[in-house]
Amino acid sequence: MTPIDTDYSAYVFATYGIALVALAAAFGWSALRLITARRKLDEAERAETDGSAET
Amino acid sequence: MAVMSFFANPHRFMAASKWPAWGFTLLGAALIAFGVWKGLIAPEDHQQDERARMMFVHVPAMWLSLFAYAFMVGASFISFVWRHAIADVAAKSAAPIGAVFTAIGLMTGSIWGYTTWGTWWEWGDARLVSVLVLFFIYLGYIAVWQAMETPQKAARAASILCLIGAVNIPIIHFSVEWFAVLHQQSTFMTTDDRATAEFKIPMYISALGYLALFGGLTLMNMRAEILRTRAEMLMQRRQAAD
Repeated sequence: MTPIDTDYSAYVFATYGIALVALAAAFGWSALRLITARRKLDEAERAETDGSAET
Repeated sequence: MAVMSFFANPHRFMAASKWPAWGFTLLGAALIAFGVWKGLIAPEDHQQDERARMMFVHVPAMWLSLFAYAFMVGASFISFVWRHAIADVAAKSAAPIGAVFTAIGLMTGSIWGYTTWGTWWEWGDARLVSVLVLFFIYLGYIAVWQAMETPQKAARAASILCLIGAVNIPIIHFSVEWFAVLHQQSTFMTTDDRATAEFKIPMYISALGYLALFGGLTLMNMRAEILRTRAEMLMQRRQAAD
């Protein structure tokens, strides 16, 4: 078994760092999905309105 | 039942969820930051010294990974029995968030295990393996939604997978009692709860933060899913008209 350093600060900060990065990524991904979906709907609605105006 | 019927209408859901989506997310971030800070300034534990601080991240992530799955089981059941459109969207939207919480729990638990047991992973430990199975169920559930030809078929198949996967939840919870494992028994909310307030308060604050974040991010993903579906319907209608 590998001997473990008894100064655990690096391990503690690693756990906090992992959680921070993962939660920030989850937030970023969710926000990006929402913004992209909103943009896609706006484009579709604009195309719908333009199409109605043409006909 | 009345609430369920009310939110079966996506327009009502979209109107009611706009501010809660961002509000819960911000509240979650604030509570997690406060819980982490309280955890970092908490005194060292008499048994686990500084390593106990890892619990303020690991334990709430694991609680919420189970909660997220229980939420998906409830939503899948409603979707399967009543074919409730929003229930499908809720289960689908919660899955990636639950998978992230499970991944956090697995990675931080592995680090804690290394400092305490001297090993990053133990295949003979039922708690560790059953949580890994949960992570794969989350990934399988997400894959089913991507793999099926129509959203209706995907919703049906994903609901069945989710309901079958629910068997794993009591296995995870009771694994520390049923099997000989390295993982310690439950410390919180048991008859033998000896955790002090210095540990309980940051832990519960963090857990509330994770819960609020789960609510906020799930609502954001639900809103994205509804907007995307509406956009696709409009585009299909336009293509059909052309």
